[in-house]
Amino acid sequence: MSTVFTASFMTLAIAGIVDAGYLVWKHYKNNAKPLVCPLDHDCSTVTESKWSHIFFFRNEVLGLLFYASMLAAGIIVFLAPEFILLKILIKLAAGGGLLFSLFLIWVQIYKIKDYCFYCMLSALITLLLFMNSLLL
Amino acid sequence: MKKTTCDYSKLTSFILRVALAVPFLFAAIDATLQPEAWIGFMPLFFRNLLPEALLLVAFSLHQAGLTFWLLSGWKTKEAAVFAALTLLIITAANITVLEIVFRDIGLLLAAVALGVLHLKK
Repeated sequence: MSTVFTASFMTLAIAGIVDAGYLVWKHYKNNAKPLVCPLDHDCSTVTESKWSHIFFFRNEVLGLLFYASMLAAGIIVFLAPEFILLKILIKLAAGGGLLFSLFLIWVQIYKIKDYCFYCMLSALITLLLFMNSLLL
Repeated sequence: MKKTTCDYSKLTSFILRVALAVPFLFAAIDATLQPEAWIGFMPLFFRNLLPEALLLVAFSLHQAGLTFWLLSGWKTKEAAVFAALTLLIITAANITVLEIVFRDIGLLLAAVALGVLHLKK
């Protein structure tokens, strides 16, 4: 049963990498077209706001690193299922990621007073990752 | 919050693409992690033709490729056709275990819906 949840955990981590990776790619690519928002919304109000940098890094870069480390941790959990400490660390990291996502949602609602579709999607993926981490 | 003029066809396309991509990705990863749980779904004809491990890896790569194609939003109509064909083959090859694959019929129709959504007017 645990292997199935490891697979779903890795699936979510890859979904997060695609989401955050798209934002990173759009930001750093020269002459990139604007973000393609499925809601036809201008995400740049959020992604280019003064809140786009926290801890000296862009939020999407932090997100990309977070999801990549979750994927790497998922692979290690599969290869060494007896590594209990790592499972605890994953739960703590996923919990931390969820708290950070909740903070960013708060920032969008009360500080920027606007939203970004991909940021909300990232928060949903992080919530699911956290719930999944409890089943590892 | 600012009001937006919303084009629901874009959102519908996005949801359908994610709805198709996630099961493909999960299946690709789980088949790699526990191949013994998935090899039984491979048609006997293919299992006699190729080594089982190679068959699963090849199909996982196919599904992973399809996942990223769907998510990329590039030539979505063609991606939907490939997804529908893949699901059609999966369903047809495992029709004897309909109690397991019956939801694939729903996914197959979702792929058809995605293709229809991207037909040029």
